[in-house]
Amino acid sequence: MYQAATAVTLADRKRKARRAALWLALLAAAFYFGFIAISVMRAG
Amino acid sequence: MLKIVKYAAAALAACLPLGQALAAWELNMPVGVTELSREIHSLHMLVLWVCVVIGVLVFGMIIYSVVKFRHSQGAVPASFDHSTKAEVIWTSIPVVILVALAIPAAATLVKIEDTRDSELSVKVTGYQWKWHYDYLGQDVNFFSTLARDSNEARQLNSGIHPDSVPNYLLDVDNPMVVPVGAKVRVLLTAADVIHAWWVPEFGMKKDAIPGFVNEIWFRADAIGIYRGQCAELCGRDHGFMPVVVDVRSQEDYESWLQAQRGDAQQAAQVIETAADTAANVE
Amino acid sequence: MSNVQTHHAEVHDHHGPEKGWRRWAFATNHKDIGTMYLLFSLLMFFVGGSMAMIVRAELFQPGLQLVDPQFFNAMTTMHALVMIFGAVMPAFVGLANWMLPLQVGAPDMALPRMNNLSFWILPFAFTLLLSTLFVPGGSAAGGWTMYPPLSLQTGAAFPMTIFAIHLMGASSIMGAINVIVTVMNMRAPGMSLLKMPMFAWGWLITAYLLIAVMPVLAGAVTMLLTDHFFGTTFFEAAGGGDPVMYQHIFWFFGHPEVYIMILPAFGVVSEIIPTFSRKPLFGYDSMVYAIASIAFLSFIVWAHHMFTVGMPLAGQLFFMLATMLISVPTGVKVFNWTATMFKGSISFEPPMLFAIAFLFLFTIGGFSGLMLAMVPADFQYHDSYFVVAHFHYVLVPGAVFGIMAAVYYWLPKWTGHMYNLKLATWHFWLSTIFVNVLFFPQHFLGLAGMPRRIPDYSTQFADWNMVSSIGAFGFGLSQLMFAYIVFSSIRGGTKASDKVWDSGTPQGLEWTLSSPPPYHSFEVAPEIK
Repeated sequence: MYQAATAVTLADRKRKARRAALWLALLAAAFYFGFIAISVMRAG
Repeated sequence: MLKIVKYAAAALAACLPLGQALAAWELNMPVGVTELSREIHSLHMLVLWVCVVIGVLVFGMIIYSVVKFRHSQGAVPASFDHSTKAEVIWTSIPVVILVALAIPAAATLVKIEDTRDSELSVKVTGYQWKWHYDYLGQDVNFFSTLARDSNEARQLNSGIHPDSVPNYLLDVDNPMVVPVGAKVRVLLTAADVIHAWWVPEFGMKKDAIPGFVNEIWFRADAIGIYRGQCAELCGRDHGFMPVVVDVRSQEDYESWLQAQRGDAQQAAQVIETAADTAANVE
Repeated sequence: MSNVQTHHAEVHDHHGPEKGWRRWAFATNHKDIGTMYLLFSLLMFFVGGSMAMIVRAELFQPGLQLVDPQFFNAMTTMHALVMIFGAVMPAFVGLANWMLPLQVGAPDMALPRMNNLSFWILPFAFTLLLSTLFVPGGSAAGGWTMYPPLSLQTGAAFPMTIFAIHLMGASSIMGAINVIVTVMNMRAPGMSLLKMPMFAWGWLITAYLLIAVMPVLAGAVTMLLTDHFFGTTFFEAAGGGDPVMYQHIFWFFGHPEVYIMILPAFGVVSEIIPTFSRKPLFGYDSMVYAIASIAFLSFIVWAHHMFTVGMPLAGQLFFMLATMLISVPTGVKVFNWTATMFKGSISFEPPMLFAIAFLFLFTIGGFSGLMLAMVPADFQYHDSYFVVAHFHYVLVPGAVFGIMAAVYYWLPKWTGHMYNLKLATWHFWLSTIFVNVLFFPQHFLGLAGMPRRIPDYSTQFADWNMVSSIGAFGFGLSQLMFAYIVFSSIRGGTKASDKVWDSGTPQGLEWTLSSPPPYHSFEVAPEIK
């Protein structure tokens, strides 16, 4: 899509995008399990 | 909006001669018959008027801009895009207003939470779909369910017009009876799902939660019958478990209490005899 | 944003959409996915709307004429779930899909395949949810908040509803991740965060809210599921659990959710008002900070939805003050919009009409919100029709009008055709009048003592209920015009220019592209100076 000159930055950007997406997914999972864990501890 | 209000006011005026029992076209919160309900009502009016004043200013400004700066009238747009002064003003003034609102609200809240020195405690338990009243230490308890005429009329396509039923959906077989002028503490809980006990004239509503006990109090200043409803969705017949409180003079209350005790004793006797008979038959 | 310079370089890989159903089933193009989201949302708007019509028809007069109380409760429950998760949220995701790449100068969303997945989950989720209407015992009828223990009484619909909610949550989280990654990584060179269009700002912050709270909802309903089927007692008092804790967890999701549905609308209105006032947005920076502070505050006010559960006094005071504080940044936004119009040169195209109505009516919803924040008064308002009026004022002439304003603003850009402006103006006036006839009397009903979620009411509430129902039928019918206007613009009409609103001053990269824009938007990144 982009010209050769920007190929490096494009790959770089892809890597960054993947990493950001993974971190955000991890954050979401942390909220999910975190709230269940809090409830388990409170009940126990 | 204004038109609607005007129309409503006119309609209200037209309805007045019909008697106040039919509070049709009602617009506002009842003032109520307790100290708390009156305080809550004045808080409500205070914040309402604050909103009206802010609303007049903001909406006035929008209307002014919409009328005055019309493209079709050849308005030439200015180019300013910020003003720190204006922004500081309209950030700080609301803070002041909020503080002014929060102080009386907090004061009333402290009063609401003070359930000490009550003269009568009634434990109210929500069931699907009725209320149970237990006069603590008085040996009186009973269920309170939707009155029979309302119950017949409320069936799907019953053919009975609700207008023909007095206090449609707001009447019960056994109302809660309390003495006038006494501080009544209501202990709320539930047997199955969450319900909420609400009498608008007392200004109070609180959830009845299984496994927990919540407290509210009221002191009714006037003799009369006050009606409310369950205010927390509790299943199919949530709309059909009214709260009715009959506020009586001290003497009337006492004699009601006596009669209730008598009833309870009689009922106990009947059950005992029946049990005996059954045992004998065996 | 202003001086845009496009690099004219060779462009490779120039292909258009696939043919037939494959274009939609395997869509990875942000415009195609955006279109599907928007059409899905429109469909759900009518599904949820029909349920509201059933509710208002039953409430037209006292007595039960049409439906059983259980079915009535099912309708109010499903109406809320369908409107929130099926109509409003997907509409905003659709707008984000269409507009964010155009606004930040990107060729597409950052994660196009995940984009496809997050859309295609939705039809399955809603098929599952709506099919519960036909299972034994009927659909969930314990309110969209699904408070236990009542929600645990749901029959066969229970696990289906929860699984549907899990699916919707997964879809929203993926959509949110996509938005954040796109906005953070795909902006055109030179577009710093504080040069971004307000719509992108509104959505960026919304996306963070979504990632924080959708998992919390999923967690809450998962615990309901284990309580029901696996013998846990998270929320069951008899087993040492706490039914109120569900409410805390739910509203920790639920309050930010409210802002999830309104912040993108704030962004839309912040785009439209400057265009048709022919004047730059007043106080851009403070608008951004206002959105951020609203988002922050939304996490510490959840318990104002449950003042009547019996909290300690200190807790009630804290949540009252925090809630009242939200009106400060919200006020800043309203004042800034007003100041944008002040000394402008205003014209009244349909998007602007909807934006102005938004300004008025959302503010009314804000006022009743401030009233509800006062704890003692809330003891009267709580769970009455006053609350119903309040949240419908912020959601219908708030969020929904925001969506309609956005559609009327960008529709010619999407389709390349100008829609019927006269008809859209009619649609605006009918909607605005009827929405007030519908919801304003509900304030009166609530204050007079009518609880919400009841299928039948005492005769003293008859008059305003009839007025409200008439408003509802009028509003519902008026929306057919909206569908007609949108579809006829897709099919044809006068050619729209690149700027679409030539007489106004539309700002932003989307207006530098043709109408409709090329299948791949910015194959060469524009440069912002």
